[in-house]
Amino acid sequence: MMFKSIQSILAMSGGVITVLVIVGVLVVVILFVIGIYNKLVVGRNRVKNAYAQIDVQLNRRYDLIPNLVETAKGYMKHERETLEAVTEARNTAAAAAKAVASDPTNGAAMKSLTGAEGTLSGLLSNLNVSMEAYPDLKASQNMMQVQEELTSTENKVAFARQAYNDSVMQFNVQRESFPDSIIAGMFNFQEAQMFEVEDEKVREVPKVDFS
Amino acid sequence: MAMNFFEHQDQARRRTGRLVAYFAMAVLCIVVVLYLTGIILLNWAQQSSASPSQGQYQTQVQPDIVYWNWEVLLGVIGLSGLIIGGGSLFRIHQLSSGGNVVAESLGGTLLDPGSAKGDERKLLNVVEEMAIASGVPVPPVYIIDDDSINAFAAGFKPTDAVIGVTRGCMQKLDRDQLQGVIAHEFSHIFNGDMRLNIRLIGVIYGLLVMGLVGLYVLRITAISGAGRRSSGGKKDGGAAFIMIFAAVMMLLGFVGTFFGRLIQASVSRQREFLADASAVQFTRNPNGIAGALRAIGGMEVKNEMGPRAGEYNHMFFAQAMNSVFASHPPVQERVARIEQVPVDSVGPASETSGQTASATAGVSGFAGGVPTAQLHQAVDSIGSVDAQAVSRASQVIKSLPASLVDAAHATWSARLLVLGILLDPAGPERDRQLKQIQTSLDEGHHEQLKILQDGVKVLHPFQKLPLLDLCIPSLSRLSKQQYDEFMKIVQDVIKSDGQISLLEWTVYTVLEKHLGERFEPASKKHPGTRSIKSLSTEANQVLATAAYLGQDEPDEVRSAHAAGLSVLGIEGRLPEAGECTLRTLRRVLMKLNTLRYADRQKLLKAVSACIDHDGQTTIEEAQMLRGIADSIDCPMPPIMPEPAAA
Repeated sequence: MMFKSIQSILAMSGGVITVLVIVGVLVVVILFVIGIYNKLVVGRNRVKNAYAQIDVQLNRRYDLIPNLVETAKGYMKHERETLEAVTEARNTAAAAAKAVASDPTNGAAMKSLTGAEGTLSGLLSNLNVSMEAYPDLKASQNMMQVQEELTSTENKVAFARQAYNDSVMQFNVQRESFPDSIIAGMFNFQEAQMFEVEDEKVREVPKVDFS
Repeated sequence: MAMNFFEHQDQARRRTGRLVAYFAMAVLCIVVVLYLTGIILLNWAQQSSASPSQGQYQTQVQPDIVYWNWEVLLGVIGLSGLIIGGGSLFRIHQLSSGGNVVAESLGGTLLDPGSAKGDERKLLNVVEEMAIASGVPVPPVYIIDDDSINAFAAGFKPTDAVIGVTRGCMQKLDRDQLQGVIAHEFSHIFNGDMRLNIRLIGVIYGLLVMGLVGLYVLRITAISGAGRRSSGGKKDGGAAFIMIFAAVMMLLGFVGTFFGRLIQASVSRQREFLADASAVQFTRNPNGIAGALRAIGGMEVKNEMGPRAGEYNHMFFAQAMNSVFASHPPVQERVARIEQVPVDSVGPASETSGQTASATAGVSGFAGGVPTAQLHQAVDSIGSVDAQAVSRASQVIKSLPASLVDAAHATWSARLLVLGILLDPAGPERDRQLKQIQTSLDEGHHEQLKILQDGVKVLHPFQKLPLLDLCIPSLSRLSKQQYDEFMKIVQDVIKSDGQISLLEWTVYTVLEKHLGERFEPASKKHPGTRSIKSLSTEANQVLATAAYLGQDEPDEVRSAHAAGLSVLGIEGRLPEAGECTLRTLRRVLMKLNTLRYADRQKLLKAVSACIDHDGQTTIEEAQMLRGIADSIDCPMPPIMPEPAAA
């Protein structure tokens, strides 16, 4: 009888320990999940903050392009279509940029911006080529100034894009690595999209050759 | 303000120590209560199992009551240690990873200095002036999208601090009021409040986790217990046992959280008064901060700063949530203390926006050398700002060419500006430097660099560090890869002539300190408890380096070194000049970063004694002092020659 009661005590405290171990493991797991979740939130906010830098430069670029077109119009009588295409591409890109700015983590919007930017850059470098035929235009003070500003803005876009892509990569790697991937899936952390100019040719900054 | 920066920092650490002691006692109490609960339940279980319903053992004796059970004790200790300790450490670790993490988890948007206009520009200007006046690099500013008027400072120590401001605060306050709010937040940074706050949050979090665990276990066992009962099982004893235990855990956790919040609130309220008082001291303008508080009091909007704000309550400028656990004193009382009038006379939020004649002395030029008195004054005024310094800082910013300030505000050009500061003025030396970095920078960069360098070249030497300070928030937007590339270029420029100048050393130190630490794990941060005696070799090395740099004659060096040692009250041999390189200086300063703050102040005093032993201090020497102060986390006000009479 005495033996039996000791046994029951042992059984009981054995139960206590089992429960404690389970609870302990549970706590660790929960804290772990919270930690990962918070890191994902911080990563996503970093992506957003990094995009803001590009946005500033892109908008600056979109503001410059009408100047460029306006200046070119006076000289390039026969390139109406090219100029119109540039303006149109600029408007499309500006609209796409606006959509992305409201939510940089939206992959679809980012893709359409990347596409629009690719088209715009391609058209701009085409325009530069056709400007070769107009020495007066190239020599114009106004044109030189706009081109200079455009080039420096392109440089800044490229630089800001690098910072943005780094932050996207960091976020995506974290999002896809185990066990973060489970939490990212549970709380619907979408993959962030890199900002890459698709065409290899237009990856280069449109060069203006004044020689 | 009887206490200075160093005493505040040490006090924050001591308070933290006391907090840990309270916390340990609380955990001990919890362990005791849980143990008793476990024992009571054990005895109860034992009795119920020992009073069988069969008739044959009816005469049996009740089993002895058990008081002592190792397994229960160990289990309880393990459980509370795991839950509370784990929860606290986890939270503290998380918050220690830097102010930017806190701001980002609150959903803050980093303000881009390059594109800020209107209100944003005004806010950044106020922050920049305050930062330069107090000698910290400009902290990144985050905007929280919220219409209420509020602000916070976050970060583990001055070097990784960020400032968060609500959109409402930025838009609704005028410049003086905004300046008051920002001064208030800077004083939190200098008074070590953030360090204390992080610990407080961590401890309370640990208790909260225990309460939550109890709650969940209770809920789960209740559900599964109900299921089992309906299925006709008869093992209710175990379930009831767990439920009671979980209920006690929950109770302890929540009661602990309750009292934790009370302690948190009372500590916090004191710190708020202190920060308000400091804000007045920093700006010499009680109307600014009082006006901001009146604006808050008058709005009477519910401040709902999102779901996480409760936890961060005491970090904010004003109460982020209305509750009995007021972490902030009543607004009217704060206004009354600032304006030094009875509380009753502080009417309900009238629009008395502060109007002060701000000093706008024209800046026409600056005198050359640094008065020795100013050097000591600068060491004495670490961690505090006076209105004069703020207006002087604003003059310095205004004296910088707009093109350079614009360049400092954009990440792309801020890098080039730093290189421009480092480049030699002209001649073959500069050409070699440029050649060194040619491969790392493309053509567009080179052009811009030359333009910027032409601007920097003509600056007065003392304008260079404030310019560097202005670059910090934009440079903090570099990604890790970009930062590594940038620092490599900086090193190339510095090393190109085979020797490191004082300015180069200071610039590199500031960059590494304020940008590099963003990418380092939090665990590397040391609270600072060691005494100068235990680090006397390192301190000796610093003094010797300062003596060699400050004096020319060997005899002078020796006596300057001795003067420094006597300030510290330590003994040491003067190393050879060859052993005192800036490289070793950097290494020993890293070790000295574990000093307690009172001794850091002594060290800085000793260094300034070494530097000006010959009665003259060059701007480079003063800047080196700034670099040393920066390395050991002490914000040193800039040493600025008095503006020449305008």
